[in-house]
Amino acid sequence: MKKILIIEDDQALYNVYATELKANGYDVSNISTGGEAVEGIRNIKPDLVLLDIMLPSKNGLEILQEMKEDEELSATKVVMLTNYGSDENVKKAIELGAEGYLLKYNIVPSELNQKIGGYLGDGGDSPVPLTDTA
Amino acid sequence: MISNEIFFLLLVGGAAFAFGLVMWRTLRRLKSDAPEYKQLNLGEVELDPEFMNSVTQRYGDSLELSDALDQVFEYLQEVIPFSLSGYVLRKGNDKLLYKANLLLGVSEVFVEEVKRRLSEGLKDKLGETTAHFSIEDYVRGGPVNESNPAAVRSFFSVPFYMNDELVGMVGVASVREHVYNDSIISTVRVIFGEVMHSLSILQAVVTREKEKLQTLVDGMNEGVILLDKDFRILVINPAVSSLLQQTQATDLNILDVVNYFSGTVPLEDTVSKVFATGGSEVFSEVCVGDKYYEITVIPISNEDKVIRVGILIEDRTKEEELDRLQREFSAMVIHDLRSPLSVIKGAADLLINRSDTISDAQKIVFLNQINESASSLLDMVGDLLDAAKVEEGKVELFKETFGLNNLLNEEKDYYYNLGQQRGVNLTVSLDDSVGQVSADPKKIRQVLNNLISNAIKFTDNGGQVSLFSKNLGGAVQVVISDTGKGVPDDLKERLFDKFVQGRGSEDKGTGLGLAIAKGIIEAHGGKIWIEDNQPKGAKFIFTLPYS
Repeated sequence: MKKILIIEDDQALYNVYATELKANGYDVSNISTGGEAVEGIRNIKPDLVLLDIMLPSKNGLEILQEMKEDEELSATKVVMLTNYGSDENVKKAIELGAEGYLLKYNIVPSELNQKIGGYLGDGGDSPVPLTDTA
Repeated sequence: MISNEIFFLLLVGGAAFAFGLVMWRTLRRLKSDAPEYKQLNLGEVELDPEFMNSVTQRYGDSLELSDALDQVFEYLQEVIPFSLSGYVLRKGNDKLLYKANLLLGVSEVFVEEVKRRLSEGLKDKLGETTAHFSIEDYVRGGPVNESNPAAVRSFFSVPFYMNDELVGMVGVASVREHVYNDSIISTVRVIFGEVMHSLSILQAVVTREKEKLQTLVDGMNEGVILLDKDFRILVINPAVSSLLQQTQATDLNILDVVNYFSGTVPLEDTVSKVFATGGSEVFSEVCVGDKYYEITVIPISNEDKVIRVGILIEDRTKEEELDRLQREFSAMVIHDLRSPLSVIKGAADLLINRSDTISDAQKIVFLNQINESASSLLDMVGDLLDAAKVEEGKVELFKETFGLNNLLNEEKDYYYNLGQQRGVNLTVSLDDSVGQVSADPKKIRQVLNNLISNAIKFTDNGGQVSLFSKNLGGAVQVVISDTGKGVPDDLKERLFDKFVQGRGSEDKGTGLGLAIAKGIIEAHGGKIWIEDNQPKGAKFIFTLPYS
């Protein structure tokens, strides 16, 4: 069972995504603050991280940078899942090595499931990093 | 920008006034002194107004005596015979400028001999025979002819004064003997006497105008620099030093200014360009370090000729900071509006597409989430509308007369429970003598909600929030204090401004709450402020007048 870690401080939103992804057979877990993210990823060893940007204590782009500078974590796939859609942030995330950049308000759970299938090579959409940015 | 226009109008006006005054006086003197010239046997030598005009104009353009003197020597050339005419001019205490105009190709020795005689003569007059002057030479006119052995055979010199101070000496020399008689010497004396008299008046007027201008620009917040064609600073105000974050208040030269902006604005080239084209140039959003400037380079013309260039430096850091806050605020509002929308959209999608696989209990959870998200969206939109009304000064009040203590009593249970959920104790202490107020109860509740929720939110588990009311006689005072981490002093002043998030990025509020609270209290004629709570935390206080 592939593991997906959702780093998201909004519990309602996490609940929505987790319900859909669990129904599709993923092992889904959550970390709700930025400060705990890096250690959490190290412990959980997820196949994919869905990473919010605006998080308490440390933002998602900082977490991504730390992961990419960490030998153990740099290969872990990260997809940004946020409501911050500025060009600057998208550019920065892709430069830092994010697989994709998805906007929450623009994607329903079933679509998210399809995208994740693409990123993990489980069928579904092939990863096209920037298609969902606006 | 209005003050800038006034400044330049005054400058140009002042110069025109000064020039007009001098011309009038000169012409009047020439008229009244005319018999004297005849007595002096001036013959064809006449100081015509056009000549005086050009001399004063030249001086007015550059405020350099040597420029005006050059003009006089051009005139001299037409009225007396000479091989070389020239002058030495004092520049400060230890420098002399020697300028020689050659008509005949005399030798270097000849040029040097006149220089020697003039500088010695000047030193004699000054009574400083031992003083050492460094002399800057400038020779113009015909070329030096080394094969001409002719020596100085005729020579006379005339000292000239400005405001009764000896400033230089004119010398006229010829290779021929017995060229200069008393009449010629007197002529030169009269010409220089007249010219220097006019220039003294002009200088006094210019100095006065410059002082007025300096007083005017000294009071301006914008940095002002006035330059002549040679990039000499004619006027500079103290704002320039402080804007450029320089410690020295005076002695700033144009290079300091040019260097400060090097890499951001090509100031030197721009000033040259403005002198050449007569068009002004503006540079916005000039960033140096953590400061933003707007620089305007303006031509100041006289008779279609650019004679000065003004540089205006405005500090735009605060405006840029406000722009940045607004941009960040917009990004945050968009983000915060999208968050509940994402929940609504996602939960609705699950309820529609997964109704067969999710349990009834889960369905209720999703419906509640949709409901809560919709409420939070409405709250945010309400905040934005309220903030817009505060901004426009259009806070509408629906006033009723009610006891403020009653309203506080009605609210206290809700906040007590909210506090308990977060491990924060709320105590309420009301002054029985507080009377009835005429206020909008809904809006006062909104203010209380903001202040008490904030106090609970920013107080750690085990902390204390206290609510007091107090009768001040003409007004009632409400105090909400907490034992949280408090608000740093530098933030206190700005805390009630729009967009300013007081206490940490973890707060997901719009940053509008306190700005709205301030707008509401002020619309009631009251005041709101923050103090430090003792021993720790913040204390928000507002007053409401009874009538």
